[in-house]
Amino acid sequence: MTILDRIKKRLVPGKKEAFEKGKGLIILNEVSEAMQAEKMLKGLGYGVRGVAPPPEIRKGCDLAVEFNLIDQLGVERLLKRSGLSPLDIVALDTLSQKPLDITKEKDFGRYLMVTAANMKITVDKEKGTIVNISGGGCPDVPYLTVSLVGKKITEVENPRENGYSLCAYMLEKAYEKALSIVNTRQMRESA
Amino acid sequence: MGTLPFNEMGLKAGKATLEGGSLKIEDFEVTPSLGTSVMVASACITCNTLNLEPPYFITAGDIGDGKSSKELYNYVAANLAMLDVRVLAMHYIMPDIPGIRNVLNSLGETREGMTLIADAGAMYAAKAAGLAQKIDVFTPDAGEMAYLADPKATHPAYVEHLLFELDASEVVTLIRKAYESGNTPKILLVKGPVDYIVEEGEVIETIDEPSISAMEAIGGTGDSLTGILSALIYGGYEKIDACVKASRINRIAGKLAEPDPATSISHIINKIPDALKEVRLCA
Repeated sequence: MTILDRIKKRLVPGKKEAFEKGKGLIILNEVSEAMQAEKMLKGLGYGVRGVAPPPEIRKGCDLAVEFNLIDQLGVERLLKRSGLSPLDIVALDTLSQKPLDITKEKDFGRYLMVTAANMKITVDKEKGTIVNISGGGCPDVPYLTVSLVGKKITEVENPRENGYSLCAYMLEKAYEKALSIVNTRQMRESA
Repeated sequence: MGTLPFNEMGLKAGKATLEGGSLKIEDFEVTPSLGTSVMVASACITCNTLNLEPPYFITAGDIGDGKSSKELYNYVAANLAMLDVRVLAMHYIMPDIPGIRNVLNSLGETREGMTLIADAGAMYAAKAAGLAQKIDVFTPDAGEMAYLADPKATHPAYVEHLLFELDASEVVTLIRKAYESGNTPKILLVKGPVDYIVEEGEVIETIDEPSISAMEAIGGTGDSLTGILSALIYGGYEKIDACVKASRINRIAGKLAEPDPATSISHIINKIPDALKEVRLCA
């Protein structure tokens, strides 16, 4: 039995176990990258393990890293800092789904609210400041709120830089939409 | 129970008080802002106005990596049975299926006399774990209702586009779908432009006055609602009655604050005592 076979035997779980709720898969280019990602994330305290990706989402690697979906943003940032570029990150129990990529807008006149899933960000269109953040349930949302509210949306760090969770991931979607609207408005006014 | 957004603050447990606009727990104090601090501050104000004992607050500092959330779940699971708990409101915390399962499994015989309320991350965890029916009251907004209505989603970020795109006026459709899939507790207080009080999948009351559209944009208005609700149930109000009253009190507090979308939640929760007077719950 090769080293890789032994690793696979240790890491590859039964099907029932693999499709645990709330888990996601990081699909990387090569087995070595998956192992590197697993080691790095585990070393930082994340609950991860190597697993065989289901056939329908295999993209060239037969070893993927299972992680808690709720940790997605922090995991993505750490992978990026480590120079690892996943081919894909998917939810195990909702294989056809990815995080929502659509937003809704509500115009309050001077203020604009953008909603992405459970997250809302409201900006003062005239001043370009973030005036409120609402929604969410993960612990980084109150933290990000303190660091973002009252500041110009064009000058703050993207929530992705300091967030960890899927709530922060959706806040980023709302932030990006609001930012593009503010930028468009400012360009139009300066033209 | 719920996290506060501070690194290194450790785990705290004790009576919470609100003094001079600061929420105090043990040697730590914080100005209420979106999240658990607003929920607990609102419960403090409501309890104080109604001459009730202040809430007992169990918290840990977590800025998002979830490590302190795990500690919080473990602490609550280990200590809850030793506390005389009548209402447990669970709030902002990293959704963790084993964590919420441990807490609920730890209740044992104490569960019978206890009302369990879950909002925010604790609500996400209970639904993802398939344990929604072990809770007494969820307090979702429309976006979170879509999550409860999607049997596959394990976080609101993963709801089906179709459910997310439903108009706010179609919340009743989401309520029905969520109930049919077993992902709701017995009672829902669905907050939004119209608040829906739901029992066993049936909308039994709607509250849409006073209508303050800016409140939807203000971070913490749902948290204040959960805090008021918890205090009212602790004060002896029956759960459905408490939901109706909490909805009205929260809306009236919003009206009295004369908010716009840039208003801070602290201006609204300061109006809770006046709102309690307006609904004649105190002199």
